[in-house]
Amino acid sequence: MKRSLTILAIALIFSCFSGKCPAENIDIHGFISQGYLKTTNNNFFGDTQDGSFKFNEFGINFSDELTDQLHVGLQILARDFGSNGNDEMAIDWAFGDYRWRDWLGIRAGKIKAPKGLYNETRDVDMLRTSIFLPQSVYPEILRDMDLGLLGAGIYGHFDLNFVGLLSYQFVYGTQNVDPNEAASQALQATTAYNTPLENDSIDVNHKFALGLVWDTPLNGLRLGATYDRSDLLATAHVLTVIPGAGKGDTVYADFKKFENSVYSAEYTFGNLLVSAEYIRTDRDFGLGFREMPNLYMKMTSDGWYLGSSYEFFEWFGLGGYYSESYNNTKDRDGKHIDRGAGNDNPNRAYFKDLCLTARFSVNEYWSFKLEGHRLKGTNGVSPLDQVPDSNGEVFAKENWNLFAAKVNFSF
Amino acid sequence: MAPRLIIVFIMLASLLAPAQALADDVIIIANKSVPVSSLGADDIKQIFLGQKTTWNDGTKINFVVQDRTKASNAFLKTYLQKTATQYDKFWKIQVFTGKGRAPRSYSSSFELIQFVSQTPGAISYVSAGTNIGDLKVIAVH
Repeated sequence: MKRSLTILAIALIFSCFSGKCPAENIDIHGFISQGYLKTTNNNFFGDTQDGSFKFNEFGINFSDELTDQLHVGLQILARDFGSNGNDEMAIDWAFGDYRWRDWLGIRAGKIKAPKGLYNETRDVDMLRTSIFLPQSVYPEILRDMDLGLLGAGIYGHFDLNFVGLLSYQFVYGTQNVDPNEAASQALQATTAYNTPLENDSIDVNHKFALGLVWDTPLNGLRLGATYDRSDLLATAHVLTVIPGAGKGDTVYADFKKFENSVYSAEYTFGNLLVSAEYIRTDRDFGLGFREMPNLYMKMTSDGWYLGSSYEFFEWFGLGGYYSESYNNTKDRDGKHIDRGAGNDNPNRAYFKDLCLTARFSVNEYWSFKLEGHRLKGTNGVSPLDQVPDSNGEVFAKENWNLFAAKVNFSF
Repeated sequence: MAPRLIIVFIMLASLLAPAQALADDVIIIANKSVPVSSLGADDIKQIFLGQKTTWNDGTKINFVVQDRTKASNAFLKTYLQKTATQYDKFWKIQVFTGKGRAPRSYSSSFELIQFVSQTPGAISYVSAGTNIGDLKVIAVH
């Protein structure tokens, strides 16, 4: 599959650049970014305490308008982020889009799911001032479960005359989540920080997502709300003996409900952009050893951020945000984390992030960014990236810093 | 009381005056086949953001833009309340999510006028005073 994608992409690029494009009207766009990460005290996706260049994205897309109303396209993406991605090519999105009227269009294929205002563009770094989106609403550890969805959907715009414009999007389908990617680490972290488990599969049975954006009559003010819900079953096998299970036994994590609700506001005034979003995540799940779980729990997470950016010149902009997220709204400071199950670190309960970014654009194709984060807590940080102590246990530090630099090219 | 009202009025007028001056700098032009002779400012915004894609008779709207010219900056600021960079970013978002194709862009008014005159349903803008031949000028209400 990946080899076929590579051959297809290279063939299309070369045939188009040599003036023999399979279809005259095919549009080709792409982006390349390479970053560097350095952290203190904890690792953030990769061995970042020593500095890591395993932080890049390459994307190329092709699109064509077959008729006035029918449009097709696909984007191929390769990324590397710590132990995730490894620059293997995958279809990021690929769909046919039939726009019957402005208020009703249909898409089918691999579609990006709406979540907040920025989920669909999270991999395209040059579209924002910051390098990382706020982790409270766009956690890197759940990226695979937040993005592509195989299925179909409808979308459209309603002109509300003097009260603005309302855009909607609804998608329904399933997902292929790679058990070796970051989402798997999040599920492993559900059971224990010093994880003795290794994920085998993540099967998403159904997922749907609904997004609404209201362009209000006040110029520059957009309000949005999104809701997504999925049910999934993850299986893992036990690496070492744990209470209730022996080595090699299967562990089931059955999520009857995994839902996100996001409320968003964005205001643009001249070169100033201010945005704020709140997310609430409800999980209804059970854990079973050797057999499907018969005891289910409910847990609610939430988070928010307030951010702003200002473009002083075309070549220079500054941005920043403050973000907070909590794994369990009933235990925001981690006092009740079950230490006996290996969840021995209260700072896993929260993640607080103060971020500042400077963006420099060389021209319309090239840009360079520098970003600093002052961090408190480790909620959403992969446990598998941390360095165990001499007893093989991981004790992530509460206060730490992250520095990121990234260069982007797009066309 | 009256002096305060006058001050408020002058302040408001000073805010509105540049926008009016900018609006006077550009005219909206269209192919003769376009079935309207006037448009609201909101219609123009929706057309150039790809949100309104057909004319009232069901034919396709073909909108084209200018590269970063003075007329283009004035048009974007007046009707879309965006800078050229923000407009480019808006279309990059559409392109990299597969939701739209960036509009055709011209660096020369001559080529733009030629495209609009030869393409049914086409609409664009040029600096006021530009020779637009037999194209239709769209009034803004």
